[in-house]
Amino acid sequence: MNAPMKTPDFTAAREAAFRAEIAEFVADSLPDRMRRDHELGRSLSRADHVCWQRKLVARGWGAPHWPEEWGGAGWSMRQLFVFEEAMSALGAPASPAFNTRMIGPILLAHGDEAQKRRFLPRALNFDDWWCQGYSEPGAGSDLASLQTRAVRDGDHYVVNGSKIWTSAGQHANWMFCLVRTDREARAQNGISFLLIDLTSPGVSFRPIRHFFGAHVFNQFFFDDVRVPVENRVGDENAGWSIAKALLEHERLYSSRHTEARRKLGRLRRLAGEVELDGAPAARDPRFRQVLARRAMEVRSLEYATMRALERLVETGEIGAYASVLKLKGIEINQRLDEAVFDLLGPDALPADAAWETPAAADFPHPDARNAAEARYWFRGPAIAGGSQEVQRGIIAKRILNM
Amino acid sequence: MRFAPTEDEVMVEDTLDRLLTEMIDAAPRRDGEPPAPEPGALRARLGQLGLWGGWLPECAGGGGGGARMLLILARGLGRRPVGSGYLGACVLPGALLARAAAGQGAGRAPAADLCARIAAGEATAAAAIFEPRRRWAPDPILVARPDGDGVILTGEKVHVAEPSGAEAFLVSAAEAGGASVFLVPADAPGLTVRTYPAFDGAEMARLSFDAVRLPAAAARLHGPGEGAGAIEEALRIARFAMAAETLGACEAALAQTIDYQRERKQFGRPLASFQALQFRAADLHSEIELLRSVVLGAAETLAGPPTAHARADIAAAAAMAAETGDLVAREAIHLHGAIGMTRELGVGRHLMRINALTRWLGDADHLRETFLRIEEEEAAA
Ligand SMILES: Cc1cc2nc3c(=O)[nH]c(=O)nc-3n(C[C@H](O)[C@H](O)[C@H](O)COP(=O)(O)OP(=O)(O)OC[C@H]3O[C@@H](n4cnc5c(N)ncnc54)[C@H](O)[C@@H]3O)c2cc1C
Repeated sequence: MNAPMKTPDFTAAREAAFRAEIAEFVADSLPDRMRRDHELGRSLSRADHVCWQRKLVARGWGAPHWPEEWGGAGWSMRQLFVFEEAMSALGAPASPAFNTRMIGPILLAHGDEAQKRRFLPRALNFDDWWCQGYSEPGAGSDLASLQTRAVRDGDHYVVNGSKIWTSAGQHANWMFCLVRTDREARAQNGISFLLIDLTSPGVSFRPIRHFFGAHVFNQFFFDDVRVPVENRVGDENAGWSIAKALLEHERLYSSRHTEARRKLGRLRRLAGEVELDGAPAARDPRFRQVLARRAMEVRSLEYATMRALERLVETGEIGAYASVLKLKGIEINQRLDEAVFDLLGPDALPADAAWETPAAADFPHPDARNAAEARYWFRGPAIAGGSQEVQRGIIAKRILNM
Repeated sequence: MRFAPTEDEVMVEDTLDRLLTEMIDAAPRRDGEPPAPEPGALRARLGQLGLWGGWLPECAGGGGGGARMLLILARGLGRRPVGSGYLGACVLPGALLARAAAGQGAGRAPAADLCARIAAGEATAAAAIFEPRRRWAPDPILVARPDGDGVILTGEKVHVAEPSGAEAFLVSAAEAGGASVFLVPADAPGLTVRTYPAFDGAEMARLSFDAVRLPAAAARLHGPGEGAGAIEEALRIARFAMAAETLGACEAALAQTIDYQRERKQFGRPLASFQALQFRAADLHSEIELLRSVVLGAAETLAGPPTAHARADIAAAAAMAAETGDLVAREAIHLHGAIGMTRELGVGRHLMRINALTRWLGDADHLRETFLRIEEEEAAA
C-alpha cells in the first residue's frame, strides 16, 4: 500500500522489511504452476491447497489471524492486511476459507476446550478439510427455515435430511452443519450447530456441476447419521447466533479485495499485450477510462476493508458494515472479470480446456486462459453467503433503519 | 411495415417450437446435463421441413423467406440453446454463397450447388473471415497469389465456427485488386484445421494455409472489388441473426426465471411476490421490449435495399442485443439463486451462448462503433 498507517507496532520501515520477507518466502516456496493457475483464477486441486497450506504452517503463517497459542502470528490488523495483500499480489493462493476463516474462528469463540484441542490443529494443517452445511433445497435466503433434523438418542444425535450447494464438499471429511433440534420453537430458536464426520455411515453426496462444467457444488444426504453429542458447538437450540457470527466472518472476507487486486494485475498485463486499432490497449483512450475506474475501485475497496479491520480491532466486531463490503466487493470483482473478458475480444473464446489442444500453440495471449470461466465462476459469490439482495436488506434495516 | 407476425409466421414458429420440444424430449438423458438433440439430426429435420434454409433466396436453393424467416428461426433456436450451429453452419456461409449464386462469376454454379445442399440441411460449410490479433477487422491479410491459372493461399484464420463436418471453407483473401472470397475444400492439401472448444461448448477452429493451391476460376466466389461488399453483407446478415437469437434467449431466460420465482417460496411466500424482484423483472422485460422493437425494425429494413439506414438498424440491433443479452442472462442466473448456476438447469447456457456470439461476431463496443460510422456516412451523403 502506498499510504501506510502509522501504528506504533508496524512502521513503514518494518512494513517494507515484512514485504521483502513475504516476497522471499513466496519466491522460494510457491511452485510456478500454482502461481500461474492462481493468477488466472483457475481452481487449485485439493493436493495443491494442502501442500501450500503446510508450507505456510511451517513458516508460522498458516492462520496468522488466530491467537498465537493456536498457531496464529500475533500480528496487528494492519500487518494482517499487508500480509494478505502482498501474498495475493505475488500470486499466492489463499487457503480455502472453511478451515481457517470459518470453523476456526467459530471454535475459538464458541467451542469447548476439548473441541478446540481436537479440531483446531487439524484444521490449521488441513489434516481435515471442512465444508459448510447451511443451505438446503428449501432453505436458501430464508436459512432459518432449514429442516435437516437432529433427534437426540442417548449421547448421540440422529441426523436426517439434506444439505445442498456444499462447495468443495467432495474434498471434505468434516462438515459444520446447522440442524433443527426443536421443531416447536420459533424458526431461529430451534437450531443447533453440529460437527459431522462425513465418513460416518448414512452420509452420501452427489456432485453438482457449474454451468460452465466444473464440479463446484454437492448435495449431501443424511440418512440416520449418528453424531456424538460432544460434536455440538454451543448449547442445544442456540446455533443460530453462532451461525450468524460465522456469516459475518464469511462476509468480511467476501470483500475479496485481494482477488480484485490480482485481477487488476491481469487486466494491466493484458492492456500491454492486446492491441486496439493498432496500438496497445493501454494507450486507447476509451480503455484507459475503464482501467482507471477499475483501479480506483480496487483502491477504495482496500481502504474500505482496512476500515473494517480497524473496527474489528477496536470494538471486536464487524457488524452490518460487512454487508457493504460484500455487496461492493463482489460488484468490483465482477466488473474486473468483465473488463478482462471484453479486452480480449474474440480471443476470450477458447475454453480453458482449449489450451490443452494443438490449436493453443497459436493462441496469442497466455493471460487469456480461463477468462470466461473465471467470469462465470464469479457469478456465484453474488449468491453465496447471503445473496446481494440479502445484503441490501441488512444494509437497509440495520444501517439505515428503514 | 408490419411488426406483428402473420398467421403463416405463427405457424412456422409453432412448428419449430414443437419440433425442438419433441427432439429435446427424445434426446438421451445424461446425468447433470440438460438434454439436447444431436445437431446433425436437428439440422436434417429442419432442412427437410424447409426451415433451415427457408430464409435463403430461391436461386440459392432456399425458400425465399428472407429476413422475417431468418428472424423466426434464429429467435426460436435462441429460446432453446441446444447448439444447433445455425449461424455458423447456415447463416454466415449461406449469405456468402447465396450472393455468389446470384452473381455472374465462374463460382456461381458450385456456390448454388453447395448452398442448396446447405439449405436442405444436407451439408455444411464454414466461413473463415477473422484473423489473429485483428479482432473483427473484415479486411483479410491472408494472401491469394496468382499461380498460372490458379491461386495460392497463404496465411491464418481464427475463430472459425462449425468447422467439423464442413465440406468447404469460405475464405476471405487479399488479392492485388482487393479482397476476394474463395471456396476451399476442407481436405485441400496445405490446409491445416486445428479445432478447439469454445467456452460455450461449441467447437471452433484455427485454419493455417500453407501454400494452398486452388483453381482460380471455380474457386473464386467473389473476386477483388466484390469480396469486401460480400463479406460486409454476410456479416450484417449474421449479426442480424445474432440479434434475433439473443432476443429469443432473453425471452426464454426471463420467462423461465419468472416461472421459477412463482414456484419458489422463501420466507413463506413466492419469490415473485417480493416487490424488489417484481421491479427487477419489469426492468428486464422493458429492456427486452426495446431489443424486440429494434430487431423487428431491422428485419423490415433488411428485407429492402442495403441503404445506410438499413445497415445502421442492423448494427443497432446487434449492439443492443450484445448488451441486453448479457444483462438479461446474468440476471436470469442470479434471480434463480444457486440453482441458476447449475449446468443441469440450463439457464446459464443462455449467458455462455450470448457471450460466445459477441466474441465471435463483434462485441457491443465494436458494434456501436460500426453503427455510428454508418450513421455518420448517412449524414454526410
Ligand atoms: C457459488 C456458491 C457457493 C455456495 N456454497 C455454499 C456452501 O458451501 N454451503 C452452503 O451451505 N451453501 C452454499 N451456497 C448456497 C447459498 O448460501 C445460497 O445459494 C444462498 O443463500 C441463496 O439461496 P438460494 O440459492 O436458495 O436462493 P433463493 O433464496 O431461492 O433466492 C433466489 C433469488 O431471489 C432473491 N431473493 C430471495 N429472497 C428475496 C427477497 N426477500 N427480496 C429480494 N430478493 C430475494 C435472491 O437474492 C436470489 O437472487 C453456495 C451458493 C453459491 C452460489
